[in-house]
Amino acid sequence: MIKLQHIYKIYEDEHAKHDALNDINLEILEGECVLLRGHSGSGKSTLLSLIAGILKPTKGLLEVDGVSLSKVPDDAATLFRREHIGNIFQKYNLIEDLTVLDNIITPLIPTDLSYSDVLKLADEALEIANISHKKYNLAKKLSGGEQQRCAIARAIVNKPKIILADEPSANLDLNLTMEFIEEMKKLKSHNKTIIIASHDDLLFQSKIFTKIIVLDKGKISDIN
Amino acid sequence: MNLKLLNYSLTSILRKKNKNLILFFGLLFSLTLLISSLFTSFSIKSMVLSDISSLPEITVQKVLGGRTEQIEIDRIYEIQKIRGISSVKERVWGYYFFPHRRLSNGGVNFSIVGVDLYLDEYNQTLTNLTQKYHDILNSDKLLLGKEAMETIKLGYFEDFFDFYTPDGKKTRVPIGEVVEELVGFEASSTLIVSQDLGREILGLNDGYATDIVVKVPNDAEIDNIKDQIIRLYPDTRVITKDDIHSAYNAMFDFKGGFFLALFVISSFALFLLIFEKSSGLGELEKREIATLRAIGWRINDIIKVKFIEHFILVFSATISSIIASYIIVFIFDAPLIKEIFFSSNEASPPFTMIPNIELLSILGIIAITLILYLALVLIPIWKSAIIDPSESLK
Repeated sequence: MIKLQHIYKIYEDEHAKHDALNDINLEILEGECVLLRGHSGSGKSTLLSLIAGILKPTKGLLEVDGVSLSKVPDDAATLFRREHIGNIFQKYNLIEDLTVLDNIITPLIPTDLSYSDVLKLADEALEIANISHKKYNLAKKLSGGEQQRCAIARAIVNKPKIILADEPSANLDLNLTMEFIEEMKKLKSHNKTIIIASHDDLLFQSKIFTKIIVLDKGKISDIN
Repeated sequence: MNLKLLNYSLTSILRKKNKNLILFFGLLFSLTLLISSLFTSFSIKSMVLSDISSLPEITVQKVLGGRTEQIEIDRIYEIQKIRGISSVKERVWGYYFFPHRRLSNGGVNFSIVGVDLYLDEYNQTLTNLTQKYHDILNSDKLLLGKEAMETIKLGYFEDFFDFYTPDGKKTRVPIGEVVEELVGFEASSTLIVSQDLGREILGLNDGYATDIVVKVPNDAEIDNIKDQIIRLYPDTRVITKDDIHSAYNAMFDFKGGFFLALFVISSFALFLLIFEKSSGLGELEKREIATLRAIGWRINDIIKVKFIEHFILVFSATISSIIASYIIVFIFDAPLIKEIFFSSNEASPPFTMIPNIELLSILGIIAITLILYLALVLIPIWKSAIIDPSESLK
């Protein structure tokens, strides 16, 4: 499903060079639930951005669902992301002045789907994320947990095969983190491939992960 | 056309309604200032040029010591002998100052035109009026336009008008007819009487006229005929239609240029403001663009949405400013703006603007505004859309 071979990501400016990822070799199978662990700056977010096609590796082969993301042009990577990837951001990144429904359908707006199909998909996502009751509320009026569920609904509205979450529990209390784990279990049961980057111990202790990868200074230091 | 993108743009306008209202009214003000000044300029220019176009090709005035004097009508016979002239005619006309404190400039200058009751006049409107109202004019009554009538009513003249001749004598002239045929400046400033009455009011002696007008069918002959008239009568000033055209154009270009300079400065300041307000993208907008990119929007999709959003804004402001300008100029008669073109020391009677719009100039302004505005707004959006979204999302 996801294959990384000798992946390097180097950030360079006039003054310095920084190796964000250094010779990463990794394979993630369909339906796996993976936790990326590591301290801040260890390269977790960069690795997620590469898999999402937001960033391109400096060197190496990156293949996601049969598409070589290291080679495709930017627009093709964006289209790939639109169809195959669901992103849950650390701060959710909802558009505050839009309703829950409008936020959820944003990934589908540039597609050729009819408005009725879009609404049908949105209803399914709302149902799975358990946020249907807040459909017409503005995002800025939601509680933290509701915002999280709205972000999950947006990430799954396009029925992606892969779901990426970057530090999803960073702003959550214990109860909401547990709620998030339950949501992920639900998605896992839908055979989604899930990759979560986090250094939250609560997530680490949950039993949902099939693989735990530890990153340190841009290198994989451990895989369980 | 993806209707979902259009819907997103419309929602986006409503979401940022406070910011968009400031932009809308800023643009509306600036464009209304420009377009209403252009409407005023187009209208006055067309009225003036239509007056000029009815003039014969050459006007001959007698000049003594640098000032214009009445001219002997006998000169017509000598001028007529010059080859290439189709007709020569004397004109009895002159300004008559009507003082009144209720007029903004303390009084107005009417144009008294004395028409020949038996021969064709130098322009068709006058000839037609003379024929149609021959009896009225023959009985020493006055013909005038609707707006001129409104002006003299300020002096409580309803059925007659009192003229004071240069020798101090009061001449009471009954009002014969308020005529619809006079339009533009003629409607507001022309008072038509018979030639004899005109002479009396203007203090012209018998056998004399204000000037002599000459019709020349071949434009190429005008300068040649002008030279021959000067040789024949060295005490004359010979003015061609082109000379009058140039003088008026120079006046309008000067005033129009002055206004344009003001506009350029004010609009530049406004655009800087708009640039600061809308194009220097705020953190929220940058974050929104990054989010959209991260969830699968192409740069193209973002530019499309923002283009539609700002196009709706600037296009509606432009159309509103055209409508507002039309109302200000042609319904409310261009308050303030008209003063720039006709300053208070010019004692022109109050007149109504006749709608005349140079479509190409207006389309040019719309195009420039749209291009400039959209470029100012879309470039920063494009810049923001091409950067790595993960950077903006952190």
